[in-house]
Amino acid sequence: MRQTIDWVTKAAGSLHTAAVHADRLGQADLFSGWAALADQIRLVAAGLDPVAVPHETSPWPSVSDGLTAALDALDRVTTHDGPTDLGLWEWHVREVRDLAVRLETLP
Amino acid sequence: MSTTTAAMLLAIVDRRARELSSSPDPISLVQWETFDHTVYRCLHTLLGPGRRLTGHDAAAAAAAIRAFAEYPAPLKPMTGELLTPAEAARLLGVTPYAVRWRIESGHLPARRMDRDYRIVSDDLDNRPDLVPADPNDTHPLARVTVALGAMSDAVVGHRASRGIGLTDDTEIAAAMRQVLALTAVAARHTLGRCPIAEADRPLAVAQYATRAVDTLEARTHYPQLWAITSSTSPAPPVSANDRLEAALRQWNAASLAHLKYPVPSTDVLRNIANEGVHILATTEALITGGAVGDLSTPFTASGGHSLREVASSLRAADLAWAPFTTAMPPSHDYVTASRAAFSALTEFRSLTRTPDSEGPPVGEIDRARALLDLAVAMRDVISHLNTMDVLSRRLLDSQLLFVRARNVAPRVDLLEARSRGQLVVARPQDADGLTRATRAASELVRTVPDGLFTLLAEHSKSMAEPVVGEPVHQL
Repeated sequence: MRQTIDWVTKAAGSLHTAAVHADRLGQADLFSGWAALADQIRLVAAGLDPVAVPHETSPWPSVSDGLTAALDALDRVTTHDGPTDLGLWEWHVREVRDLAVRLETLP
Repeated sequence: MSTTTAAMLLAIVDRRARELSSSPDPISLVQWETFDHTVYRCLHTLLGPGRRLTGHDAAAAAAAIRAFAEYPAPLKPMTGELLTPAEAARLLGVTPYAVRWRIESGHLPARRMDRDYRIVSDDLDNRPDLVPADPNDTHPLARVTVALGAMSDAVVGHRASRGIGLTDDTEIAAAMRQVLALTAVAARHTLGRCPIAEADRPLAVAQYATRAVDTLEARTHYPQLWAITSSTSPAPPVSANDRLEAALRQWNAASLAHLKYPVPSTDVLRNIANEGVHILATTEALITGGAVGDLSTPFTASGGHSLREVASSLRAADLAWAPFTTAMPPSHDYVTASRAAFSALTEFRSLTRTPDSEGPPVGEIDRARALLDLAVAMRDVISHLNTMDVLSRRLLDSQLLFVRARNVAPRVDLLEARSRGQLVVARPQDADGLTRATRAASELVRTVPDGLFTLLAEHSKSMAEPVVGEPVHQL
């Protein structure tokens, strides 16, 4: 169970890191789509762990890679050990990753 | 689903009443009586149930109340009202004495209140056959009636949801004047197109409406009616406009639901502020995108604030909430609705690009309709910010708001918590900035919907038939 919680917290941390990454891509432009996406990512991260502490530096080349890392972490949670709504949170992460991929492919 | 405002519906009624003048079609008794009662209901709705003189504009209020009171004996009472014997007598076409006699002899149910009788209006309804105008009836008078009924429904819906109706007496009197003016036109038109045996009622209404119009002051702009929105029944969203409207409404409903939680997630509160920023970004893209139409004039919210200034205040509110948490996760419903709103707003922004820029071509988007939806959404944001202000105090009082120890002023008792990065209960003095930022954002955001409604009102004349289906209304 302890390990399960660690993976969930790790996924939330990865999401927070991806959000920081998205914020940077927004280059402090309030109206940037990246800034809005960063907030969507934070919202999902809060679902997994409302008090997770964000990491400031992203080891991933893109925001979607950070979100994939979060999904990988969630994949390691044993079926019956995680939160009962873990599957739904995983779906939220996938959805937000699709949005990130779409934003990354925009010219 | 499509959104419109009470002011836009009134404009439609006016336009359709003008079209009526050139129609040679005969008018049936049913069509006339439905219109007749819908006008009465509309006046009653504008004035508000139990309307009394207020101190705002006593002259306008008195004129409006008098104009309503002089309506020729209504065909059918409004439902669910408590009437005095005098009011009941007017509806029944008898004296108040006769009404009291009927009550005391057991022929009319009534209850005692304030040392007098009160009669439930439904007990006086002797015209259950009067039903709302058929939205499929293409007769011009039926079309006027449907639009007028929809406008009344919008005002009634607004009153039911906000707990308050129209409050500006001058505006109420002016709107009543416009309704009465088109009523006079419709009644006179009906006189020439109905059997002589049925002409008494249109004649009485025509005379009354013509007389009443002169007693009420005119006004060309209706700020309160512009702010009253109405939606037709949901249909599967097919266009980008439909998707935007549906997503914003879903997001607002999810926000309202989450804000009612005893302990909401602070991440939802932050997201509400940020969704406001995204809405403003889309608004700016629509106004400055140069896609089509004539809405490209430089826009500033009322008070001279740019949209980016307003957005900065929302971002400041978001950042002020950032160190705080209730340790509650957001609801799945809210997360889903917020993401749908994000997608719809992003899609709309991409559609507002000029043909010269890269990306998808300018699609078939209705910019005015989208601006209206965004203005309504900003009004929702204001309401949510006000709730957040109340919530912050409630959570602080209940010691349910936590903050990282390192985010508050250093104190001896927090040394260990600071070194371990722990959460501690937030005190009111820790949250001064939070309250200030939330209120400041609310104040600035307040200027946006008004500015947008004014912009839309100025352009409403050049707009095509506003986006409204044929909403079924109630009598």
